[in-house]
Amino acid sequence: MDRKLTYETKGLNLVLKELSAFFTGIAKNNFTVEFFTVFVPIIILWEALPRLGVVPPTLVPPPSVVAETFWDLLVNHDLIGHVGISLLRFFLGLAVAIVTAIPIGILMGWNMFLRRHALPLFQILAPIPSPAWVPITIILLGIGLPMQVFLVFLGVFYPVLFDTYQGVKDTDPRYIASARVFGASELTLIKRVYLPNALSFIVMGVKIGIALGLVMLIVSEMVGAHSGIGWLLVESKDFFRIDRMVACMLTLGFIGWFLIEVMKYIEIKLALWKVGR
Amino acid sequence: MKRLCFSIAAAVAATALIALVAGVPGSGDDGVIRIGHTGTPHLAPLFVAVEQGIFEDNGLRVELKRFGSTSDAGYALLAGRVDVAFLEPSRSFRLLNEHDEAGVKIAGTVNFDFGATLVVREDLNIRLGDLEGMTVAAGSRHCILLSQFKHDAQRHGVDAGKINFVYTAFETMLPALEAGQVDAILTRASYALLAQAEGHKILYQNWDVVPGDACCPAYLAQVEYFMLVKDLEPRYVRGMDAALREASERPPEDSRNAIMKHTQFPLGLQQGFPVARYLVIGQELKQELGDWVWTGN
Amino acid sequence: MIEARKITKFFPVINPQGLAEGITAVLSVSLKVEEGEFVAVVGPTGCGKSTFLEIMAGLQAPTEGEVYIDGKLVLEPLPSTRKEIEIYQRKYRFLSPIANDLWRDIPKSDIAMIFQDYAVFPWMTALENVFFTLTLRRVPKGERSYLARKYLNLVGLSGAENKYPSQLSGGMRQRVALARALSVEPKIILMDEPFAAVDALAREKLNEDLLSIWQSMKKTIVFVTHDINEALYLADRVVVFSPQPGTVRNIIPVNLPRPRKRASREIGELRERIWQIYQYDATGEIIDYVI
Ligand SMILES: Nc1ncnc2c1ncn2[C@@H]1O[C@H](COP(=O)(O)OP(=O)(O)OP(=O)(O)O)[C@@H](O)[C@H]1O
Ligand SMILES: [Mg+2]
Repeated sequence: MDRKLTYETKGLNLVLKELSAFFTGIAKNNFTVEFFTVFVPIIILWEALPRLGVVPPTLVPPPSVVAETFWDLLVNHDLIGHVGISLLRFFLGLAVAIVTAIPIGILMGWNMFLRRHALPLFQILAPIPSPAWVPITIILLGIGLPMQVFLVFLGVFYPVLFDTYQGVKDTDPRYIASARVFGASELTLIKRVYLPNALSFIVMGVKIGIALGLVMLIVSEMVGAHSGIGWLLVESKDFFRIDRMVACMLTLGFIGWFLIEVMKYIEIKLALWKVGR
Repeated sequence: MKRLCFSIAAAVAATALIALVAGVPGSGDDGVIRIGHTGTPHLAPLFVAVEQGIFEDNGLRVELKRFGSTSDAGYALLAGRVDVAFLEPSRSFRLLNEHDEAGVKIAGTVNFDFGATLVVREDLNIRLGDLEGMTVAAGSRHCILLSQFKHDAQRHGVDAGKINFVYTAFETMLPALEAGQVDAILTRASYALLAQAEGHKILYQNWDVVPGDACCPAYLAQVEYFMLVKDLEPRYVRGMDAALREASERPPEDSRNAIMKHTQFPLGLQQGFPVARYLVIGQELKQELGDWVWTGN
Repeated sequence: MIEARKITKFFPVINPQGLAEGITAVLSVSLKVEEGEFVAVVGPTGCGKSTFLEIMAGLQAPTEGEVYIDGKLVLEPLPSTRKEIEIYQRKYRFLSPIANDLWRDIPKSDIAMIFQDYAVFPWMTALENVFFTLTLRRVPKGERSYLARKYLNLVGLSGAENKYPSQLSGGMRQRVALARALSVEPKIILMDEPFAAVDALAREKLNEDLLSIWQSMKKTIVFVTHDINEALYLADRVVVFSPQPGTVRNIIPVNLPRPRKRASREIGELRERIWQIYQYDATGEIIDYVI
C-alpha cells in the first residue's frame, strides 16, 4: 500500500482514486479465469436445457430471456425505483442497527457492570429468528416504512452487537495495561485500544448483518409493502412471471454481493495494519 | 484460456448427454388424477364428489393436493405436478396470459350465488344507522352491489351519502378489514362467508342482486373458481365434468358436511349461505374466453 | 524512589479437579529502589517477577502490602475481611480499581512500563504509537511530530516510523516500546524481560543503547530478566527471587565501574554465586560455599 500517496491526494482525486482501486480490486479478485471455467458452462447449460426442451422453458427461463426481462423491467417497470426504495429501507435499518449495536457492544465489552445488566437480555432475545418478529411488528407498527426498517434492523442488530462485544471483550489485556500505565482514561482506551482491536470483528458482524438484513428486507416487503424488489418478487409470482422472479433474484444477489465487496474494501482500508499478515 | 475452452466443451457435451437421456419417454401416468385445490368452502362439489365416492362411480381415481394459495396450485399445474387445479378467475387469466403455450385449458366453473353483503369489523358493535361517517370498502363506484346497498339503505332511512366509501378489489377487502383500515366491507356473498369465519359480523345481505355491469359480465361475475386442466386425457376431463355436476345435485346438507370434513369450516357458519355449484361453461362464457376453453382435442 | 512494603499477591485458581485452590505468586517482598538506580530482578520462571512489577506499576492490586512511589501510595491492597470486601465491591462496582479516570487522561509522567511481550499497538505505526503517549501527556499538537521522531531516533528507529509493528522485527518492536516509554519522560521505567525475544547480538546492542540512555537521562530503572549475565552487566543491584512463591532470596550489589566487560572475572564470580543460589533453591544442595 502506498500510504504517502493516499495522504497527499485530496478531494475529487482521492474519491476517483479510491473508486478505481475498489473496482479493479473487485475485477481482480472475482473475475478470474478459474471463475469463468465454472461460470460459463453453467450459463451454457442453463441456456441450452430449456431451449432444447429438456426442462420446460415456461418454468425455467433461459438467461437470454431473463436478460430481456431484466431490460424490460428496467425500462418499462421502474426497476431502478423499486431497487431504490428497497435500498432506502435497507440502509435505514442498517444505519439504525449499526449506530445502536456498536456502542452497546462496546459498552458491554468494556464494562463488567453494564455487561451483567444488559448481556443476558440480548442473549435471550437474539435466538428468536428475526422472521418470527414479523406478525407482532405488523401489529405494533402497521404496514409501512417503520415496520420494514425495524425488521431490517432486527436482522442486522444482533450479529453486529455480538461481534462488537466479542471483539472488545477479547482485547489482549497487555494492550489495555500498556495504555493504562501511561494514564489513559477509559474513554481513550475505548477510542484508541478497544475499538481498533475490535474493528475486524465489527466488520465481520456487519457483513453477516448485511446478509441477514437483506433476508429481512425481502421478508418485510413480501408481507407489507407495495413497492420494492421483494414486493416485485411476490408480485411476479402472483402474475406467473417466472422470468421476472429470476430477474429479481439475480438483482438481489447482485446487491448483496456488491455490499459485501464494499465491506471488504472498507475493512482493508480501516485495518491496513493487518494487510500482509 | 485452454482450461476455459475445455470447460465450455464439457458443458456442451453435458448438455447433449442430458438431452439424450431426457429424450427417453418417461413412464406413463398411473391413471390417478391429481387435483390441486386450496381447501376453501367454495369448492363444495369437489369435496362432495370425494366424500360420496362419485369420482369412483364415474370410473376415476383422484388424489387431492392442498396448496397454500391458488398461485401455488397454478405453478403445480404448470410444472405437471397436478393435472387439475382450481383457480379464481383473475389468477386464471394471469396464468393463461403468461403461459399460453403451456397447454392449460379452462374445463369448468364453480359458481357461488352473488348476494350483496355488508360485513363490519368484529370489534365494532353497530347497526346500519351508525355507518354514517365510517369507512366502507366497495368494489367500484359503479358496482352493482353498491347501488343495491345504497337503494336498500335509503329504505332503512340511512343516508348512504354520509358513508365514506373507498374502492378496492374484492380480494384485498378482507385484509384491509383485518388491518383496521376500513370499518366495513361491501362484498359478494362468497367473501362474506370467509369474513364471517374470521369473526366479523354480517349487517346486511340481499340475495336479489342480479350481477353484471359494464366492466364485469354477468356470467363471469358469478364464477368463483375455474377448473383448469393440463395434459389430461379427454375421457378423464369428461369424467371430472360428469362427477362434479352430479355432486352439485346432492342435497346442501351433504355439501356442508363434506366442506366441514375437508376444510374444518364450521357447519354453523355455513347456515344461511347457499353452497357452491359446479357448472359447465355456457355459450356466453365460451365466447368470452375464446380458445382458453377446453374443447376435447 | 520506589518503596515496596511486604507485597504479597495471591491468585485464587480452580484446579483441574474443579476444586478451588490458590497460588501465592509473590510473598512478602520488600524492596527499595533509590532515585537514578538501575535494579535488575532475576529469578526462575513463574516466580512472580512480572506480577511484582505490575503491582509496582499499579496494574494489579496487591493482596497485602503497599507500594509507594515518591511517598505516594500506588494502589490500596485488596480487602480481606468480608466487610471490607463488601465495601470494596461497592466502591468499584462500576469502574475497576486499576482504571484511571472515566473521561480525562491523567498522565503519570513518573512511571512507564515495557512489557514482556511486545505491547505496542499493532494498529498504529511506530510513529503513531509514540504519538499516542505524547497525546496522553497533552503535548501540543505542533510538537508531537518533532518529539516522536526524536525518541524514535534515540532508540535507533529512524526510517521505520511509518511501519506497523507487524512489519518490524521483534527487536525493532521492543525499540518502539522503549521509545514510547521514554517519550513520556518518566522518572521510573519498569521493564519486564524487554529483550527476551531478541537474538543475542541484537540484545547486546540494545543493552548498550539502554545503558547510554539511562546514563544520559538519569532514570530509575527496574529491569526484570531471565538472563543473569544481562542483569550483572546492566544493574547496580541484582535482586534474586526464589521459586514460587516469589520472595527476595538475596540482593547482590554489583559494585563494578562502567563500562563493564561481559567476560570479566568479577562478573563471572557474581554469576557463579547467583547460579549457586538457584541450584540450592532447586535441589537443596550446597555446592561450594554457604551463602
Ligand atoms: N491472573 C492470574 N491468575 C492466576 N494465576 C496467575 C495469574 N497471573 C499470574 N499467575 C501465576 O502467578 C505466578 C507468577 O506469574 P508471573 O507471570 O509473575 O511469573 P514470572 O516470574 O514473570 O515468570 P516468567 O519469567 O516466565 O515471565 C505463575 O505461577 C502464574 O501462573
Ligand atoms: Mg514474566
